[in-house]
Amino acid sequence: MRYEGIGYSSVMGALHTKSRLPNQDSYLVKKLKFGTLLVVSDGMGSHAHAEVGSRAVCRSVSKALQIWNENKCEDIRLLIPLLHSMWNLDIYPFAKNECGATCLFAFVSVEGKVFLGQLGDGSIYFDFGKGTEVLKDKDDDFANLTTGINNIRSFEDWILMTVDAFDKPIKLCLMTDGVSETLIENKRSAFVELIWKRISEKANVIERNNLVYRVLNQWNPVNSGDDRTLISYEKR
Amino acid sequence: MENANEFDGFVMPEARMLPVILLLDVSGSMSYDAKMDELNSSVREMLDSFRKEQIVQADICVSIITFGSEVNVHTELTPARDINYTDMVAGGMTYMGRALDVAYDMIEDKTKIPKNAYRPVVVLVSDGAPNDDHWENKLNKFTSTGRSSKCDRWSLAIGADADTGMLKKFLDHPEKEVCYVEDAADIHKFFRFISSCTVQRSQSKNPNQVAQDLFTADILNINFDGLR
Repeated sequence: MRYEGIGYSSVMGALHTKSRLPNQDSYLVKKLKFGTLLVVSDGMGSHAHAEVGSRAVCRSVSKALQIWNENKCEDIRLLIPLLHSMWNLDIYPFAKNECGATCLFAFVSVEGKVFLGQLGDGSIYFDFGKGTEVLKDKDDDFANLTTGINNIRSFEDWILMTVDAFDKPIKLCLMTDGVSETLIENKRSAFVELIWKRISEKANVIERNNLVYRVLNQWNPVNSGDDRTLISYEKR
Repeated sequence: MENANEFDGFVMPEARMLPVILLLDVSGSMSYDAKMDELNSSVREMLDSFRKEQIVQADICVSIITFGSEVNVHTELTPARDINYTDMVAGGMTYMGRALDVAYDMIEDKTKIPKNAYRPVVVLVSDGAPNDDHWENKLNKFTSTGRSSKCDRWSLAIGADADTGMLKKFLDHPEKEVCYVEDAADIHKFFRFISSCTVQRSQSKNPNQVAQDLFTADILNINFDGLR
């Protein structure tokens, strides 16, 4: 039996507390018969129902993944249109441009296949035994000029990756931009590696989640305005 | 084993930059009708308002580029709280095209404005028309290529000699209008509006977002209490 350790938490940004807005980030950690699903989503702050959009992202990835799996799909690209349709249904009766949200997901199948997907800001870090890498290096002109599930131009906006890790160790870390964009650029991998290390030392999910919560809650105040969400995953 | 403060060194010690770039006409005509005095006091007032804001999400940094017969970077991009403002002096022609080139290069330079900065505010103020060569090409380059094309751009025309057509082309959204002031005494109202919009952005969840209702705001008669 392989070890699978997951730690996750979400902390409301100082500006939301001040403005009495809800936490507009959402996350999902779901163990399915055919694998483990991780999702983080950042509701776009300028949208009236951003939290509706980000919650819908989490539910939609989960529903779409189950249909995708029932049809024995191996191609992650076939999940994406399904996910968008599910999201459009889920947010009804709200309009798309009131519910903008990013979508970052990781699915680890019981066979050891890893499927990663990212639309919009935030980061997915991974290590399959060859060192820490990031799925998408930010190449935008300025911060927060993000594409969301509401305003996708084409499916090319998605960054997708499939890796057959088989029995190799798998480490993943998904985070919204409240975390990724406020980390010092050349220390981001070291941050993620320390999270993985400390998570692996914890005995159970409560201790792991408490650790993530403490890290997110003690963020430098000048960079704590945005909501912050992080999921750390390790299988070995 | 876990150390209580071991995660402290990973987060940026400063908030992300929200740049404000002022492109200000200091040609000879600005010396008449107290226009230069009003412009100087308006910029001072803007800097004061930025200094008072608590930094949570964005750190407002200001650069001032002046254009007369010469183009000068009067103030390099600096946190507003650290700027020791010295008055601008009017004189010479209106070499606006060159000023746009200087601003273009500043915005493109990722060592000055990193990619994690928020979308800059760029403000163009003039009481005349550009009279350097190829200014049209420089304006077109500024508004349609590179990072400057994605900036939040506003313009102010002072008096009837200002080239409002050119200033309109500078704006980044079709619904925005050039703010026109006949009387130099109204210059501060425009700057107060820009200050309020910028502060509002710096304190919002998404500091890139400019509320669209501000595009059509009656800038000279706006209720600033409502805006904040």
